[in-house]
Amino acid sequence: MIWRGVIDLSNRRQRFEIWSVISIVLLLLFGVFLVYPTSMLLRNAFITDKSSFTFDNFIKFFSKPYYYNTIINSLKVSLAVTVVSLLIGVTVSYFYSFYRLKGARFILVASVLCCMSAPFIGAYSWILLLGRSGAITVFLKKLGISIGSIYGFGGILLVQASKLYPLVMIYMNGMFNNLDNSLMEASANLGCSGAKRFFKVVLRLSMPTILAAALLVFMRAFADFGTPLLIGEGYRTFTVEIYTQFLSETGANYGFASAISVIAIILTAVIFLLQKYATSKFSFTMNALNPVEKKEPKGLGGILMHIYCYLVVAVSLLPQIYIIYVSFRNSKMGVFQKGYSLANYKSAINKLLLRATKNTVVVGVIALMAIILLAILISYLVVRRSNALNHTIDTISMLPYIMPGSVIAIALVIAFGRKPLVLTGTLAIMIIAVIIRRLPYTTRSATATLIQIPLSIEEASISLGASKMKTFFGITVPMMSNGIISGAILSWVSIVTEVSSAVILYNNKSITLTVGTYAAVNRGNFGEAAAFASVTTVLTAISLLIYLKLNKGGRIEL
Amino acid sequence: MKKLLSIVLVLVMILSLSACGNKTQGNSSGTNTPASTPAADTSSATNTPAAEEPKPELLSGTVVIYSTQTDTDHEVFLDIFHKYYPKVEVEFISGSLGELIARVEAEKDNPQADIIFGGLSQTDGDQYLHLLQKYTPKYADQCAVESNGYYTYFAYQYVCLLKNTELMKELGVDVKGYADLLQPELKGHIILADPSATSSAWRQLQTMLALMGNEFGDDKAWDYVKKLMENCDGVITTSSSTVYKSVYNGEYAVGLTYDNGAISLLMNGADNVEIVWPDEGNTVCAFASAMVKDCPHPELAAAVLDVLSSAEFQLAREKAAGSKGPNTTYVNEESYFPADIDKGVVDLDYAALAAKKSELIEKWTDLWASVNK
Repeated sequence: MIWRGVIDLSNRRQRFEIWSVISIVLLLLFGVFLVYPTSMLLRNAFITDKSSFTFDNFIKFFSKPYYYNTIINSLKVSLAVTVVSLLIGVTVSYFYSFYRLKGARFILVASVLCCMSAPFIGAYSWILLLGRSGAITVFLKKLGISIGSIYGFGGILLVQASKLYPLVMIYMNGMFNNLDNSLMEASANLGCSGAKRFFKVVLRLSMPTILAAALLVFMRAFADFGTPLLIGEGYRTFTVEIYTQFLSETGANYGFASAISVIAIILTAVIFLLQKYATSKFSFTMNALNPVEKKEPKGLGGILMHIYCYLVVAVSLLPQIYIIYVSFRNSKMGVFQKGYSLANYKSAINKLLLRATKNTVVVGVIALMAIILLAILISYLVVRRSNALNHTIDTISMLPYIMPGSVIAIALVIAFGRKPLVLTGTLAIMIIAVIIRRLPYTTRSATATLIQIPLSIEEASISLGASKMKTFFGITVPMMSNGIISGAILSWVSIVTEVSSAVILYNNKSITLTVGTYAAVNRGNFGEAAAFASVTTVLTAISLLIYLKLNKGGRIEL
Repeated sequence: MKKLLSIVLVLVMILSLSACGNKTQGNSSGTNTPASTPAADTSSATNTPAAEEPKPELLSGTVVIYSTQTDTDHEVFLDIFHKYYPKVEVEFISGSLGELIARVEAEKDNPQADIIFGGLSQTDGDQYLHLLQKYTPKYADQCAVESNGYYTYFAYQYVCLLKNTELMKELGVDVKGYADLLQPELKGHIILADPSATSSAWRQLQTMLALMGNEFGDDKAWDYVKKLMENCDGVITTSSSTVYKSVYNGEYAVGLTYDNGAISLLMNGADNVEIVWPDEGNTVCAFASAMVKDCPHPELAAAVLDVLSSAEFQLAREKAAGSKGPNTTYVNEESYFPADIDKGVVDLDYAALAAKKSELIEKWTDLWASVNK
């Protein structure tokens, strides 16, 4: 077994070097674009109309079960979603990575597509399918089977798990690809193979990635408000409460809402630090010189494997397919008419469908490049230059994860709505919001990957005369590429589905696809909304296929 | 050094994006409008724009409307607006009132919107006035509702119940008013919305408190509300459109909703639902639009509000969307409302409602929490 702890270099290098400069630059960037806007908003937490500095808002939150139960509910459902997503994601990824499944590429693309619908559309589609009068419910009733209610805890679990298991799967794919086959062979030689080897060797080696994936799934489930909003039906969650308090029609209470947001941030920070601690217990390195070779699935086990994977994908993809079907049905303001046509698409084009598509791509590409660069830099600082400052940068970059996008958007508008830096109404502010919100994915996967790369390779390069930067971009980054790319795909997917911050920031010049969907839903035009949503699905499918095509040389998988 | 340079270049790129952004912002204000650049010139427009006749041929540019309204409302508005002001482009940004208010509030120092269309109501009191501009629209004297100087009322909202006729048959009961909602057969088949989240649910609460007691909001009325909550069996939603949509979809047998939503279903061909105008009576509340304070195009905004206050617009809207308007000079022959709807209407004390809003909603919230322990 090759184990090696992460070497703490902070003692060795006290002098001012290129990485210290990068630390400071990053800190400044986060300071201006993240800390300043949000702190301006959050100091409202301590203000009520009765006094200008008080903890009353916090006391109000913790004194009524109506409010603090929302945290407990959110924690419960997020934990359940994490466990289920891990189970499904790890198993599907294992079959995908270690066996040559038929239609493997389809499984991958379909899984990623599941992550991708705007939350309210996905939940609405599930209601149309499995609600009290849903298409499937009615069909099953005819067969005499009655399924329980899709609303509440169960519904949230189903919708979120089917959307989030691909996150786990993609992370694990990156991880399994890096697995050193010689370790697997050695273990088989020593008499441990099959399921036993899976639990004793593979899982333990994958722990950093599993923990990274678990954290992301948990946070994503916790921070999701679109799904519980539609399908929670009385099961009150935390982020819905924040959203309601900030944006309620019947009396927004900024002070109270800010107080809840502060509580959320503290919770996030705690969970995040716990995860960092857990990850540090699993540090070791491997080199990927011997990638695992895929086996041919045989016999009954093989058939079951295929059925399992296809079933998972089919269930998760169902709502998206149903939305595409709905987009071709004639409808007027939510009431379905007879017949099918392209009417919804025509009306969507009138409502800026083409411009929205262009904006989505532009915002996506720029944001993605910025995110990849920042994530790589942060992961290096955290892993190889581990000190208090860098850990602070890391934690700050994770905090926006829990804050509802609308809150971040409000903070940005307030901060950058006036001179000297006026960004409101531009694509730039939407890009910044997206970068702030979506950086964590790639950072986490980059960090998890970098932890496993042995220091000796970098040291060899430096001792052969290459500069630190050259080593970094020439050697370290390519070795990290699997992990980076898996995180980048997820960032791309989540950038394309960004809606909660965009609705506050957009105008008709910077409109994106998901905002178009949301606006159409708001105006009561569900056919048009379905058209926008379908185009989003197609766009992501195309971008995934392009990526897979480009990556053909060598390996088909990520 | 090279890498440092590339980082600096990235920063420069980001900053230059914001520079282009500013230019497009300037251009979007339109070509001929007088107050085209933000910040500098709009301070001169803080005086109330005179309600004089804007010459339609001269008005051009783009007016930005933050709207809570539906496509139908937008189409009706554009038809009439472009008749009088053919050169003015209209840009709609849709959202819930909460989101739009949050945007306007956040954009205070550099307002992007000209008009807030819909969502504002008689029971707001003065909570939004600090964001708005005083304006009296052209046809203000034809409006049955007295304005506070900022609001331009364009629609009435009555509340109603919506029932799914097929499900009602299955359950074997019927609903003619609020009292019928307490029938045990309906337990778990009722849907209502959360008054702390949507104004239509707040309207429903106002109505129940006004109709179901001897006095507004007395113990008898709250007792009814409690029994209704018990019959709802924990079912509630935060979206007003979910209420009528889910009755139409067959998820629930009856929903507590509002006139516009229910009527729009019928107008679009839904044949499995029926509107129930409650036996006990009804209450009315007027909804409004308003001009945003220091908006970028005050003259265009004035034109918009003038059109909204007109009988022509309100009649067309009632024909297309179903809900009545407060302009007294028109009559709609083919209305979805029963002719005697106003007979059972109970007056509301709007000022008192505005003052007690958070107290009443909090009482509702606490009651709901205790019923659903």
